[in-house]
Amino acid sequence: MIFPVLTPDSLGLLLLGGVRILFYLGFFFYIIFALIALRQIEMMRKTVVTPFSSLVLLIGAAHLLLAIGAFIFAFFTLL
Amino acid sequence: MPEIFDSTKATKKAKLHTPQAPIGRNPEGGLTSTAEVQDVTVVEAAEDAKVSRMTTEERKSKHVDDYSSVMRNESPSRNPFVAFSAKPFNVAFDAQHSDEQVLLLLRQSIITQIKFVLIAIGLLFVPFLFNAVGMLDFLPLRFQFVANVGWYLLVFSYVLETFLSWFYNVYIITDERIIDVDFNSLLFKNVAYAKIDNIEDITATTAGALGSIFDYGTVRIQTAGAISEFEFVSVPQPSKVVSFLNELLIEEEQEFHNKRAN
Repeated sequence: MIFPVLTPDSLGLLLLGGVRILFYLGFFFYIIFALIALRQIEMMRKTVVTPFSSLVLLIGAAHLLLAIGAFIFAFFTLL
Repeated sequence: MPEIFDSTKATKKAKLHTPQAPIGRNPEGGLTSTAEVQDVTVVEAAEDAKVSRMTTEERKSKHVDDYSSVMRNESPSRNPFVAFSAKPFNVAFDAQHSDEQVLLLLRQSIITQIKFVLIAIGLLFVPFLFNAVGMLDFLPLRFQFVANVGWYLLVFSYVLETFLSWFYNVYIITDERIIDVDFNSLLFKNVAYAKIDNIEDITATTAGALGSIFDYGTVRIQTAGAISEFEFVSVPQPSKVVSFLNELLIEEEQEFHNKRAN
């Protein structure tokens, strides 16, 4: 069985690959978190109705879009 | 959808529901129906209904300013971000009765949130600190940039969560009940209700230098219901809240006595 030879360069690439995957996972989980936050905002504004409620929902939606945007940005920057 | 508070409607509503002429009686006061016995029962029921309806109307026709000196000195609040919001406009909650009015909305004093603002400002500078000590130097520049973007997203989510937690963790006092709305985390919601006439004991505690200077503290309300204690944590002007609750209690007692007298 032939083992690949680990040179400093290949080790660096391997590490960067691992870091890249970690970043992708991090941003992906952030999208899920933003979705839960949006769901929670909806529940909150139904529980207590204030004049500011509609704007809070808008902020939650903007947060979700930001999370998706960040994931796409990270995906293409780290390719 | 529950009715939202409008001080101008309070008296109008009472006028709209002015009791009609007693059912089953002619103008001369005699019974009109052929089945006299049945009608007597109907008329008695109608009279009973009239008494209870009158009592409710009397209460609803009474504006909070009529019986509360605390509310008389407070102007209706239109600002949704205040921690002590008396007679708030356009504020309602999901389990609100159709004729229930929100009289006071409380949140934690804004002073208690300063530590979160300072933490958020501190978190904003963490990437600069990391750059200064070269903590991410082992990564290529584009990786460092993405790491910074991720960090600022986390800071934004921290600010958003802290704000939402402050804004929606409210204590509501209506003309019928006290309500404690708690959102302890993203996935935990707890709403507790207690009728005003179930209140047994109220205590206000102001502790610490900041509490004394900025006049905020905790109001504890013992009730006879399933939830024995309500805690309004770090609310502004706790003594005023206690006074108002006492006035509501007195008003409830008077209503109870009026009902019995009728």
